[in-house]
Amino acid sequence: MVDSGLVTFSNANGQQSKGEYAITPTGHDELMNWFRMSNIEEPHQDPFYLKLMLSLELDEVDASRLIVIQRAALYQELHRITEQRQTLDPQNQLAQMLLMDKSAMHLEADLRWLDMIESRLDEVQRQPAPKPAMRPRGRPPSQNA
Amino acid sequence: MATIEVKNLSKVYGSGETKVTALDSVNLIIEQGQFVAVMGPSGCGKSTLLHLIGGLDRPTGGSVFIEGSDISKMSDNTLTELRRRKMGFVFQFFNLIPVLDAIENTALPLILDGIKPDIARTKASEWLSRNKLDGRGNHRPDELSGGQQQRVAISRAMVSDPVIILADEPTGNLDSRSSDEIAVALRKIVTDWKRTVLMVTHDPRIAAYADRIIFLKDGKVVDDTLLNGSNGENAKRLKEKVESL
Ligand SMILES: Nc1ncnc2c1ncn2[C@@H]1O[C@H](COP(=O)(O)OP(=O)(O)OP(=O)(O)O)[C@@H](O)[C@H]1O
Ligand SMILES: [Mg+2]
Repeated sequence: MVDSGLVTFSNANGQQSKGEYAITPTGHDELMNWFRMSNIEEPHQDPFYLKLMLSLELDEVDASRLIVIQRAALYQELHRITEQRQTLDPQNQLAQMLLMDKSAMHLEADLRWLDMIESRLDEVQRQPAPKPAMRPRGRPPSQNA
Repeated sequence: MATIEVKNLSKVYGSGETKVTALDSVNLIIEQGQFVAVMGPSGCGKSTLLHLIGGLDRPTGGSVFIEGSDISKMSDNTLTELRRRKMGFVFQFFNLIPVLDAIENTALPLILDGIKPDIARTKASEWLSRNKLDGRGNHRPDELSGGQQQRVAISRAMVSDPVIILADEPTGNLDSRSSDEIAVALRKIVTDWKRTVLMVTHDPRIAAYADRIIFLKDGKVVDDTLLNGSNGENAKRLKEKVESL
């Protein structure tokens, strides 16, 4: 960060190990930019989704069993979070509770998504398997190539 | 002896062309002090299962045992008696009587059973207070929030000291905060009072308060998940499930 000019380091009293960092105006601008940025999680490859899609292609794996197992695991986790959340004190530990609420809501969404998949499993099984989207790798081809 | 045992339970509505198999040979054992959630898509037979266990309807096949007694063999009078002594019901619609206040609504089952009004009122107040409704005893239903009305309904279900509480979508009409309060109240009935709760719900967050989740599909049990073991036990159970694949 010193090298990027975001902070400066001063070692006024000459001691080797101790010193003070100070934020530079550039550093401050950068920090404020960071606060202003919204946070959308990268659309990542959902491992369960991948498993499920592969199971549709394989006769020896039963897609509906995969859903049952995944659902049981999600409920175990949701139960754990619910129990933990109940031990917290809303007067003093609201911050922790809010983080647990996030986990609970995401688990709930995943469970509802499983219900949706289950109800449309026959339909998706009859359709052609999705082809993985080819991500362009390396340097983009030049315009006039 | 299990609190509830269901053997090859079936329910068929109608006949011929319009025949609907609502429940198809269901087997279940539910022990005392278990909080069980019943889940599954609409029309899979959840309410039918609850009604048969509660003796509100008769099966077309199989039987229901409550603390060892086969309720399908009971006369209507014996069944009504058992329902009054051993079961409490909580439904999506609170069905409180508008002109009675919270204490009177809660005490009503006892008063109808011939218990002296002052004793009934005392027991009612105790249950209202256990359900965090102290100070609300003299409020009529229209002066209470949905969540509070439902907690009056739970108090009313508990006042005659039932062994089993049957709840069909108890949070179906409530926002998520009140829903959590209802789930906590039902959880307490199991943890503190060792009663058995069987609850139908669509809401995963509410189901997560239970010890066990039974999933129905097309009238059959398709999965039965225990939630209350230690994490090690749960991992083992999950492993067994994976191996049964
Ligand atoms: N009295 C009745 N006469 C005819 N069919 C009925 C009757 N009651 C229920 N059914 C049918 O039995 C099946 C199971 O109904 P049930 O009410 O148990 O479902 P459920 O799982 O509670 O659904 P929901 O989540 O919508 O409440 C459904 O197909 C329903 O249409
Ligand atoms: Mg129903």
